[in-house]
Amino acid sequence: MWPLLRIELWKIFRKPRTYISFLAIAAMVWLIQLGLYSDGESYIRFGMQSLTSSFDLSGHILNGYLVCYIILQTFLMQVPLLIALVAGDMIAGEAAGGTLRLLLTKPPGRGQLLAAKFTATFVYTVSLLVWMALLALLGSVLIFGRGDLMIMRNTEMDLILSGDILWRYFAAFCFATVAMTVVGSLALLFSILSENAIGPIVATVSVVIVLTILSTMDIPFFDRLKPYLFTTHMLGWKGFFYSPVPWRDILRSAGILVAHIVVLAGVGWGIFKRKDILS
Amino acid sequence: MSTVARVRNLTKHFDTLTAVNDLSFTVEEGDVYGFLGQNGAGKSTTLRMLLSLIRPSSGNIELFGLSLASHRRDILRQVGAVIEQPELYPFFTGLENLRVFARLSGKPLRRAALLEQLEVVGLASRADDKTATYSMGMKQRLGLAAALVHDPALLILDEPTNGLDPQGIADMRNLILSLSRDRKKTLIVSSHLLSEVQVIATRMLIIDRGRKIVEGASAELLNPSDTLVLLETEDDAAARALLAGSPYAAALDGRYLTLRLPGAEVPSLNAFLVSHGVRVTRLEPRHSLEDYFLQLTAPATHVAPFAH
Repeated sequence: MWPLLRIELWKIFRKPRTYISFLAIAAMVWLIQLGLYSDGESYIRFGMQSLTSSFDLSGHILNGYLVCYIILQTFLMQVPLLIALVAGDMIAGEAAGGTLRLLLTKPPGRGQLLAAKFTATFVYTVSLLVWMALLALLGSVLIFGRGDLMIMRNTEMDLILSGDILWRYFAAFCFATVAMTVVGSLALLFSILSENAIGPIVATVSVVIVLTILSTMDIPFFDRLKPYLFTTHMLGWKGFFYSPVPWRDILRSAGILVAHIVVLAGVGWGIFKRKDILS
Repeated sequence: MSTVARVRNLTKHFDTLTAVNDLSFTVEEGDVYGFLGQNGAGKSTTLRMLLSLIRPSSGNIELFGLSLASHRRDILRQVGAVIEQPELYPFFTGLENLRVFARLSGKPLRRAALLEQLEVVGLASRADDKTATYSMGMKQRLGLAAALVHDPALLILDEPTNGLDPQGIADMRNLILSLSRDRKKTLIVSSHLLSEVQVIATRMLIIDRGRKIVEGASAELLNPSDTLVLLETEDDAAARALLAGSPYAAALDGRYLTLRLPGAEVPSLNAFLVSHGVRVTRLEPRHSLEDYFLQLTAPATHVAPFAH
């Protein structure tokens, strides 16, 4: 398994397209940081206007922790596209390139190959999120400094003290890794079903967009569906920034996401084991 | 001499299409086994089933005396393959590609050993160039190096000269001959060109529409003194049973009503069948296998004598 995984990682990180994702994240994060650095106070005043009429808010509100939160809230739903870019290519790209048939004439079995590709996709997902964490959290703290984190949700406001924040970000990134692994598993499943690399990428992004719309629309007809959609639970990371932390909800969402991973990977394995390689 | 591959009653259906139909053949150690048939005859499907890329609908494949269904891993350790054009990883160099396939074959090699392998196929000087810059012929040779990197006993090559220029075809032919002669490999080489296979093959099998037409030693099949007789009757099964118990039994070739016998004996064959109540609807002598094969591979004039 280890030699196969090494080969898969070697392939991922030698492909130029892999670095498009890292560059895209860097560009998005830097743009937000630049925007907030140049005119962040107006943005904060706009966001807090419902409170400032009743309360007198003072202190270092626009700090690195808040900037990181804004970045995560803005971009965590765009990251699936970047995950799909690599995961969707894992099998279909090899089939389209003609290397899949060569791989499968070698002694390692299909199950092993798929496990290596799944693990490599997971490593790529973690790398992408660590990169995002480094730029969004570390970069923002370096530029904007530290301070207490003030978060608005509906009519409530959560205030988290500076010394109580880092573990929450760590937990949020771990949760995001599970959520993004669902997307990676979905893209890998589409990749098994397809023989061109673009199809699985487009299919994955389409599914994420459609399910996200269903998850966020307040239409009673869709309410019964929402608890079963992984997109409903992908935003569970926000719970770590509530006071008190809704552990029960977070664990339930994490469990549903893990169940999605198991089902998607299992279905993919079942199909791949039986698939005739005609490419 | 031991049997390397034994295929029995192999069949593959794709929905309503039968790509390979009840195919049986045997490859012995040291053979360069030519696998001939026109495009779409079922050659690639058969070879892919030998490599477990495609699951047979029915039938049995044994390689090195082991069932492929239950000993895939042990078998593939001893097999190298190039299926159609070997599209390698364009973002790796030739040497890196070879390193990947050596590791996958369970034989990690150092740079010097990999360079030696590339030298065999004449690519050592381009080892550090990305394969995106390689010509079709170079990719084909690199694919062969990737198939040979773990020193397999059996090499399966599917249309190895497709897309190559005349020089590339000659190089590939010489390479195959050298692998057989100098490195004692057993090879199964598919092609739709008889002229190509007859130069390298010691034994050959011709298939059409997934069915075996003839199988045998190349020298015998290509013997111009033999006439290949294609026979159709109103009851082929009865005719076959009759011939199997007659002096013509030795001339029966393959599962179908094909006989190889001197041309002068063709009228006697006809008389024999008629005298035993077999109504002959077609009796078509061909002067040579090449004559027959050329007709088989020319779609416009295809008479499909074996279509069932």
